[in-house]
Amino acid sequence: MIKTLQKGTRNALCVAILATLAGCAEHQTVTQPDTWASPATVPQAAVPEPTEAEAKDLLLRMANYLAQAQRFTVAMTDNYDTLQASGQKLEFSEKRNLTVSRPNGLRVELEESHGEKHLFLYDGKDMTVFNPSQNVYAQTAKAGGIDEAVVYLLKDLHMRLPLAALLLSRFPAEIESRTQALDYVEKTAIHGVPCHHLAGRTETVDYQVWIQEGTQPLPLRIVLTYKNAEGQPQFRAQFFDWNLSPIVSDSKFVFTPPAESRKIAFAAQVTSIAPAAIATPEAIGGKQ
Amino acid sequence: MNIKLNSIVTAMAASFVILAVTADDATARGFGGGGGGARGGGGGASSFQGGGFSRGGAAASGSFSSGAARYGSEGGGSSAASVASSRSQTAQTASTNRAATQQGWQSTSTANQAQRQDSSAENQQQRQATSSQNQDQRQNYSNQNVQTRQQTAQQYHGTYPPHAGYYPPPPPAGYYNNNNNNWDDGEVAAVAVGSAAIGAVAGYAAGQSNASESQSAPATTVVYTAPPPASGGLPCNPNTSVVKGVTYYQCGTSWYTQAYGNGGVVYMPVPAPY
Repeated sequence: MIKTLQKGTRNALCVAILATLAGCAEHQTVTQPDTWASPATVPQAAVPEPTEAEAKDLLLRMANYLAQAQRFTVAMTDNYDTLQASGQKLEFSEKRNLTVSRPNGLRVELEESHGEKHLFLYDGKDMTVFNPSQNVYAQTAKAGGIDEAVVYLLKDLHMRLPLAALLLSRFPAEIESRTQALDYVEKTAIHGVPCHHLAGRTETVDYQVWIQEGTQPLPLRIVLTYKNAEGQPQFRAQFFDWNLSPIVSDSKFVFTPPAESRKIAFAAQVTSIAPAAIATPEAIGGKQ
Repeated sequence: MNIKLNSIVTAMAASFVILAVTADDATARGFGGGGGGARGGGGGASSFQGGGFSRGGAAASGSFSSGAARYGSEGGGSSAASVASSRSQTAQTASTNRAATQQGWQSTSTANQAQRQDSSAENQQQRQATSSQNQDQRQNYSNQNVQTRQQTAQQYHGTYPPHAGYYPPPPPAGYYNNNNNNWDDGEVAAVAVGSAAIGAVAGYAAGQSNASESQSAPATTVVYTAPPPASGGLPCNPNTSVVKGVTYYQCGTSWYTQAYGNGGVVYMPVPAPY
């Protein structure tokens, strides 16, 4: 009887397990990002994976590597979730080309998914945002270098520059002071490039970063989850074509107003506009 | 009995399989657009023709920090005051948590430091023992002198003035303000920009409508038809004026000017230029 029961039970359970596994496998196929490694490129997990302390070392090694890089260019594509008033979550994407030349040169070329383009330039004296489709630009003086300019751009002018912290020379301190917990997730590969997958938590944002293995610990992908925001939206960025020794001239960071262009204010500065305080036409420049 | 038991087990397994497949199908159907969950519904192709979808929100900032309140409203009803309050609370919480975090991150180095401190503590105790004796002697003399001076000063001034170090010293150079940790807190800033702009117009209207009112009267008491918030488009085909080099757009009694915001070029409500 026991034998018969075992046989029957075994058969039935086998059916259930196989069906469940098939379902899981199918689900995994749907959710697997195409940036992930193919099975052939995933490093074998024979070696014990790094501890939390080693994860911190990896994170700070990446941060220090970026902070100490005097010049670099990189292309970045990102997409992010937006929660609509209806409750529907939509995804938008954009492309960026970044050029950094410490201490004073920063250039960001942005193209949003609906085709709108923006150019941000900082040359150590002025920061400028230019919209070519409307041929308007906003410009303000800001000395002090990239760190000062980026913080001013976001904190005071309330402009948008995703992953701005990565551009700062104090990025290691920024990420260290904000991180409350850090885990080493796994060793994996993105587009065939072996990397470490880390997961960190800050007060308001959970982040994941994939850091290239080897002597150039560069970030290949970053995912931010806004855990306190409704719908817990994510921001996902992929980095391509890192170049740590680009040839860039200083003129790349200087803005020359195109013909017929018109200067406008930064939105954050508009409240201070009063008729008496309006800049003179000479200071406005470009098309009136 | 064997047959019965086998039948029951087989039936249970079959039910499990059916349930698993059904759940999978439900997921697939959800992706296809039918049914929908609590927030699904609607959303046919026509929904996409009107445009006007928001590109903003917490994730649009791409920042390592966020001012978004826990599952709070991102726009619409949130007032600047509530945002400010939320931000203040967040800052306080963040400050506490940062302290806790740093303790956690520093646990390794603390252990090493403890070892170093053990050995140095012995040396220090020896030095302190010697210096304490000397200090006791000096303090005896010093206390006598201080008491004498205090008695003299009280006789002349009534109270003894606070010593030079009474006021808290200024923060050291490079002091890192807590607020600086939220410098890339983009989403709250976006709300604040719109609110501030509308508030400025409301305040201006208050001054225009009743010049005898104190200018410090809160803008919230003014009944004013607020113009639409800063957006990529104007609510009318505007009259355009250029005043001192700045282009203004007029819709009825409302004036706007173009500005660069975190969502691109927008029209901001402004006071009338003349």
